[in-house]
Amino acid sequence: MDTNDLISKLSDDLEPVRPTASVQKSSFYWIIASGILVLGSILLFATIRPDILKQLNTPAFIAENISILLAMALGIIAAFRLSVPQPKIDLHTKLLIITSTMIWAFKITHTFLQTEQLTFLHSETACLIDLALIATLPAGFVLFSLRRAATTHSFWTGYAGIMAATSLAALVMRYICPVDSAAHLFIWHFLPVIVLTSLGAFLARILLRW
Amino acid sequence: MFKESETKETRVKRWSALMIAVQKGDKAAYHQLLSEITPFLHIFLTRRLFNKSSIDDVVQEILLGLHKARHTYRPEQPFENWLFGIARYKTLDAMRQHYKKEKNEVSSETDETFSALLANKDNREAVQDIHNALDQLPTRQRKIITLAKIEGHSLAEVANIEGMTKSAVKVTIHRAYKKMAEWLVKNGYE
Repeated sequence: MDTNDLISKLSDDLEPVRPTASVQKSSFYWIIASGILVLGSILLFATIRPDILKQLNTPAFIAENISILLAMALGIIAAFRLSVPQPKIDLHTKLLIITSTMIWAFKITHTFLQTEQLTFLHSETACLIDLALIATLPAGFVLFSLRRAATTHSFWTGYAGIMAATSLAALVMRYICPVDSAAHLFIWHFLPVIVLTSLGAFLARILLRW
Repeated sequence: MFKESETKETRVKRWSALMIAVQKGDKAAYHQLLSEITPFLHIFLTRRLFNKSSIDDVVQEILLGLHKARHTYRPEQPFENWLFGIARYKTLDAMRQHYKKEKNEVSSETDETFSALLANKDNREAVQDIHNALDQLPTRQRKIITLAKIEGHSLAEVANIEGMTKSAVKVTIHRAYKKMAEWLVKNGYE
């Protein structure tokens, strides 16, 4: 087909479209929707740790919550910033991705350094499974939202989106799992976030193609 | 309409306004926008694609991509950024597909032509020219063509003899044909 014919055809077939929501709106909707989905799942299938009230009075626990929430927020904002075509990733978005990654790098390094002995108890693998399961709904939702857009940087878009989803799951895990040992948190809570994020980024290269 | 005297900023602002109208379903604005950006896409691709014959195809892929992604344009984003984001994405896609195709396929037409020439023992001059073209090839390419096309070994057999994969043998044959064709053209063949 000649290019002029194609232009005529596309023009003749044109239908109005609803523009994608702004980055702020998209991020806000995702946080609210994912929060509701995850909360509903927890109330149905899990129990809150018995010492939660004590933990919420601990500055370290609060600081951890804030850092994970920050990583989640930065990740989802970066994902929606990257969801539209652009020739290259701008500095602002790069900083969002780097900062959320550094938060997790710091947490992982910090807990690893506090670990006295690494053990891989079979009984503790439940936390990894729980984290992956909790992350599934928000991850699915973010990939669905991003697929409706048109990213030209699918790897980093997927990375940022899945980082947000796994961060949310890791945050929820801290309210379910009563084990606070550094070794346990390092192996079964925090390291899986980076592993699942990386896997999700490679999956996104296929899922977000258009 | 596009004016040569128009500054780049004015033109991009105008395209942005046209794109907003396109999102609302304005067909005339769409026709105007696509007609105006097409020459710029040609220039963009001329600088990036080695295979000039595929420029029109890639321009059309970009226009189709723009059509598919038209809901993603945000007015706060410079239109040029958005447009060339799509253009870059589709160009890389086209280059990847071209490379994949080149790696996996030998043009069957080329294969038939050379096979027929090599097998045509009646036209001694043509056969001699083909063999002269063969002599110009690097040793490995010459050996592979000889094994596959003169001695009649299958691709699997050639791959086994040379310690290569079948895909690598195909790519080598394709490149050898290209070199032979260039030599023949240089020496008076069409």
